[in-house]
Amino acid sequence: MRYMSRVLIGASVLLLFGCSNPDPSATGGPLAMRRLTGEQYRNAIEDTFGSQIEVAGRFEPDNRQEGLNALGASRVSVTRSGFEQYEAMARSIAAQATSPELRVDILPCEPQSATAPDHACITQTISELGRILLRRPLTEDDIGLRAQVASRVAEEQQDYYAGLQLALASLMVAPDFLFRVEVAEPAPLPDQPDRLQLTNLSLASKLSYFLWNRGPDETLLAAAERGELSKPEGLAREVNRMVASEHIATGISAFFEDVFVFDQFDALSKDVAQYPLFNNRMAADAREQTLRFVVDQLVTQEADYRTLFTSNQIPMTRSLGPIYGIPVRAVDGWERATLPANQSRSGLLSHASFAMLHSHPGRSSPTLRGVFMREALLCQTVPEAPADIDFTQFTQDVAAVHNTARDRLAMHATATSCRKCHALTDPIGLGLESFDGIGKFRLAENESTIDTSGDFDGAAFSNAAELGQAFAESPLVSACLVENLYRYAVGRKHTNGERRLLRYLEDTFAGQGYRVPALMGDIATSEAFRTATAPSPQAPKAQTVKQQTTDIDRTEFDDKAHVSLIVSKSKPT
Amino acid sequence: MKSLITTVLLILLGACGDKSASVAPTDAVMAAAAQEQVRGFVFTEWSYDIPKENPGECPEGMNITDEDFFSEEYAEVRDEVKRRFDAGDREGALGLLPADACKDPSVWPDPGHILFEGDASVAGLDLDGENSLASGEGQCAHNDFTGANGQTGIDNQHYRLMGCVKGFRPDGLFDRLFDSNNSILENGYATLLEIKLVEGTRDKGLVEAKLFTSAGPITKDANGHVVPDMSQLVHADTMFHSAAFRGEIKDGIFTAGPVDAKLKFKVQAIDNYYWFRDLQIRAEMLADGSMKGVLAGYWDIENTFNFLTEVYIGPVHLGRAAANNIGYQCAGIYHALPRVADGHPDPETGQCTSMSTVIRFAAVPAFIIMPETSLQVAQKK
Amino acid sequence: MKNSKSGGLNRRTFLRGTLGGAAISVGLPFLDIFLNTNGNAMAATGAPLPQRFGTWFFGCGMNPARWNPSTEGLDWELSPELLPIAPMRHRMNILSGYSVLLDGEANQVHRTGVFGALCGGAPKTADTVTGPTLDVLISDAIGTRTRFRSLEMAATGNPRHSNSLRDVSSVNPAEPSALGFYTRIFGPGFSDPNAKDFSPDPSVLLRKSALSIVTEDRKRLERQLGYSDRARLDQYFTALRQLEQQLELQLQQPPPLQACSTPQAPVDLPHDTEIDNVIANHGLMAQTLALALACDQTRVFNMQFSDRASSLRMPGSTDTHHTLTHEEPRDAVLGYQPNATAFVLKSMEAWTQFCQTLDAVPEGDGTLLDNCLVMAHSETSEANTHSIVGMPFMTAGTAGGRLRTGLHVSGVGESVSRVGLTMQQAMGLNVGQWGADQNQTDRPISDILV
Repeated sequence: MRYMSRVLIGASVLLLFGCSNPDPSATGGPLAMRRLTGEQYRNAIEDTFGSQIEVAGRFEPDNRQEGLNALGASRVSVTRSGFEQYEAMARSIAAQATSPELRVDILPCEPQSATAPDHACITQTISELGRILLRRPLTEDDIGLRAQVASRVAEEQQDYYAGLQLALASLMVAPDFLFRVEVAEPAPLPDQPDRLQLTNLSLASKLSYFLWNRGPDETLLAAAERGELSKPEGLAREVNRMVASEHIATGISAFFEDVFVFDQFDALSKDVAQYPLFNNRMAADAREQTLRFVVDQLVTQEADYRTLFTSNQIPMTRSLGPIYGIPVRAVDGWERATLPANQSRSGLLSHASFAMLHSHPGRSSPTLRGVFMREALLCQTVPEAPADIDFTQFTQDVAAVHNTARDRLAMHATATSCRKCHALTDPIGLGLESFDGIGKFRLAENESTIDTSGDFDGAAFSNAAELGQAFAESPLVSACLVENLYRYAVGRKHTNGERRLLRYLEDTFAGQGYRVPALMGDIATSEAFRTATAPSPQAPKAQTVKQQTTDIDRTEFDDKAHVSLIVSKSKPT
Repeated sequence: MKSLITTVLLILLGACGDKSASVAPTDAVMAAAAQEQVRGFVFTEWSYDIPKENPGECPEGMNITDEDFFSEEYAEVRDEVKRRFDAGDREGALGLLPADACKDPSVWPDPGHILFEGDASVAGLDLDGENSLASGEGQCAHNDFTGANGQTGIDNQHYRLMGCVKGFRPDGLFDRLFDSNNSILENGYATLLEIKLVEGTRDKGLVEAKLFTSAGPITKDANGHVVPDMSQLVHADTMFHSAAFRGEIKDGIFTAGPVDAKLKFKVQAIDNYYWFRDLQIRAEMLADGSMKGVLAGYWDIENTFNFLTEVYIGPVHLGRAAANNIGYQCAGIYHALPRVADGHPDPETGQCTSMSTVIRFAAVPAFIIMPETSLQVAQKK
Repeated sequence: MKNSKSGGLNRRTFLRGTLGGAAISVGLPFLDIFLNTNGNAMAATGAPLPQRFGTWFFGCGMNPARWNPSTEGLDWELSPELLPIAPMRHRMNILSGYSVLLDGEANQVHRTGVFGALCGGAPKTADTVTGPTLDVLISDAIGTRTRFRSLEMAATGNPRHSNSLRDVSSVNPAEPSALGFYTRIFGPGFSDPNAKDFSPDPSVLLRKSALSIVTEDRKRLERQLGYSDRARLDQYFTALRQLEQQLELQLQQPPPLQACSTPQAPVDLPHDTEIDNVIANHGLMAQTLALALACDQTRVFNMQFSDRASSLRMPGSTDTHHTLTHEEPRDAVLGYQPNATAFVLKSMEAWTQFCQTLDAVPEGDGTLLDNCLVMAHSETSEANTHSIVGMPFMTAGTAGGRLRTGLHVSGVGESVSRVGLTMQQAMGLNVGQWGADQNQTDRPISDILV
């Protein structure tokens, strides 16, 4: 059954590509080199050296731009301390790979003598392993210099592997390993003299990082080397294969991890007085629970994306049992469970991960949850709070008067300077108030019953499950997914020229039953994905590198599928 | 690329391992739990009853230890013992000390263990249904206690045994251990209680109960309290599953028993089990779903001696060290146990083989998972 | 940060006392022009001063209710059992509340606490540990080029009183006597570090070569990139160049050790577990150690003030600290065991004196202590119940500016492995995760890491 549907997806990709209703022609935006994320680095090491290598070290933090680390990857570089970490990691990995225990499994050849240089073997090793690391065949220069230095070291130290270690370490600190450099050739059109087309090798990397969150595998690399990705059938075949593969789960997981801002889990801490149950192991499990759920629904069950908000199935592990109040049979690992019926939970919005991530250390926060839902799930902007607010009126020690969060936020719903933004976030955030700051269900706060009813852009709901249903039915949700997935794939904001493509993708997404793997296939085979405009050789106008999604004025996008928010910021007095 | 193939295989196998969890979630455990016919509890407190308010008097004084009893002999060899210990010769050092009755109680005659004879406000239950007196008939005659709330006929021979031991007095070693809830928080095992409704309602009905030892320790929260609603797997060895026993819930009080129960206990140097015979439970069911009360039953005295003396860290036998710390002599206890025993007389000799004992306990709701319904999914976490 | 007055021992007296009877050449006079603008390095080469790590162990813990400060942060209130550290509180951190998480393993009394903290995991059996101790891991990283990989000392005079091990069959024995310790370091085998021939570390040469290979790629890449990507590539190569420069420094002859001077041999005191002898032995060893560090004889050390299950005794008494913790009744009025607790205060005094001894050696623009990181710890919190919940940890020194000081951080509910991970990261080890099973962590205590 699964095989058949994979074939169908593949067929639909092919159909879309070669048929009468192709994606609207669009040229991709500017080229940008992207730094590998920690996860991508680990995958690269695993792909090159196998899973027995331990990667010990700290990666530089990713940079979140406009809601996605994938965009920030195109802006970051490497700091001094970051580079030191990379260099230390490279040495450690090279040492492990050449160690007597592991070298037999990892290295492609043995030297004639372990205490002397061996030009043939070292050249072969550098060439084969380097090809996987740098995601392209190595040039004579790449190999030659390394082999030369390695051989000299091998001779001086009478240790072939000391030389090889050096060569391997140098590969792992190379800029074209740490960064995905995009190379493109001119492919002008009459009205677009600047138009470029990605080389096969660059396209291969872009595809595999999008679909699998790792470098190209042997099949894809070979296909790129043979120039097959320039042909529609070749590209479709590879995309087909990659979408149907088990690795699509890794790609989907990495995407949602980015959209859901799950890197915030690293710094998550809770007030132990309020939430003694909380610990970092539980937080890590909650994060994994949501990602497993997403993969289970979208890949294993091949379900409609919108069911993410309505499904009552959830992967469960022992540490999370007490949060949901259900028994867990598995001693280790994960099992399928059903959300308990009497807690009005269904879908993503009722997961512990969101509840604990978007809360304060000592209490829940409808506003933070509302901001997350608006920005990450609906692609809407919520401006920052004005600088001149007097916060003393909201401190917790007036709990005697304001028992529930709804009471505490009442003032935000009425004060002029607050209400425009809080009207976006609070009504829907309050719908999740039955889940406390770590996601546990509760009926009351400070002995006052919690009211979870509200309105989501015209759709009334009385609890979290109904809010989930409203999300599933909202066209904004699927439109936002398409937009996020596209930006994630190309590593930048979409250009004006790509708006038509986005609309097309949204329509196709709906037409084929909201299946995310197929959507990814559509993006991967679009013309915009494999083309680009030339990067500016001059310095651009001063840009402010922003950390959060908050300041962007999106009013220019007045498409039907996007709600424009004309919210003026209050000026400080 | 052998390693790539291995990697892919591992991924596939991992994914398949996951899919073994595709059993329908509605099975007996889930359904029963959902309907609240079966309720599970995990013990959050476990202590002997040390009557802080009125521990009673020991007019003959406290019991002494081997160190006191053999003080002259110890003084003679002390320097040489220390020298040998410092040099790492543990065996040689111990060899200089007087023979260890904690390893073999036959090496010494009865040195005389001081029992607690007086009155104290102990907790417990009237296990034998009568207000016994030591002057009564038979070898097992003993004086009952009157409890703090005026309840008469309380059988607690354990207190008669330990009431004049320094470590068993208020603020002694046991008291401090129990204050820090050591027997729960450091225990490698948990005690589980399952209550199944047979007739009536949750608040007023007849129940069937079972006691288990868990397969592993409890889960603690950041403040060191037991996490409620955690799923606890039951120990695979059925020796630590009690038989089902009858009980009743009425007016907020749960009573049940009698039942025989063997319950594992692994804390610091102890790795053993209790053997209680004809154990009864009486506990208050509280509004937050937890319960608090006593277990009272007959502790098999051979098991008692074994529990006290089979104390190890690695190969090092610490029975005597423990006895010295707590404040008794193993030889004394050995000979005192038959004197205090008040239960389960041997049919031929009439000698009682078990001793009434009281355990204070508290418990919170938990999900009890039997081994046959659990998933031993050996996945990487 | 200059600290010329540290509780009785100031810099002048120290220098005067030790320069006295030196048989071997004394270090050069201290000249300010050798400092760079930060005052913490030698301007000629820019090479940083060596950083050292040490552990300081005291047995039988403390009384948590009286030791744990009640407030956190910089202005934490001195608790009764921490009063002795008052003069040095701003150079120290207090880390309270961290526990060894058992998760079913037995609490091996007087063992699980200390090896849980030092190895990052609860030992599963009485004859195993979960890994090498923290000081061994650090000496593997920073101690391979000094005369001694590490130095262990026992103020109790018993060479078996050492917690430093790679595994249970290779425990580093401790120096039991102050004179023996002195002789080992400054006796016949000692050679003036400032007169030595320097040979560069071959592994550093290799690292530099690897980096220079990469530098060749620069022009090719630049041609392929647009403006903003070129700027990012520039940043990358700047970072690379900075590391290269660090490596170049390591290939050059290090500057003379200004603080190194040879002490007089100490008198040979009786060394046993009577507390006055322990304190005296400890003081002499600390002084010798301070100069051993200043002369770069080692960069890792372990001092045991008292052993696990502290066998310390008050003069004239045969009751050890350990026995008292189990047998002495709690005073009804005070609420604690007065005789047992007296040892806690003595331990805190000795710890303070130890830090002051390191602080009395001027080095760079500050003192030796500034270029050290010392971790004080015990094998239990409340010894009476062998509790391994909320064990005491203290740090002293800043590891050359990598650690903040003066803070109290509470880690209630957290594993002791977070402390060990933090120590390793502060000493520059490339470790992102440490510990075993339920004690494994990847989160250092960021409050104290700069």
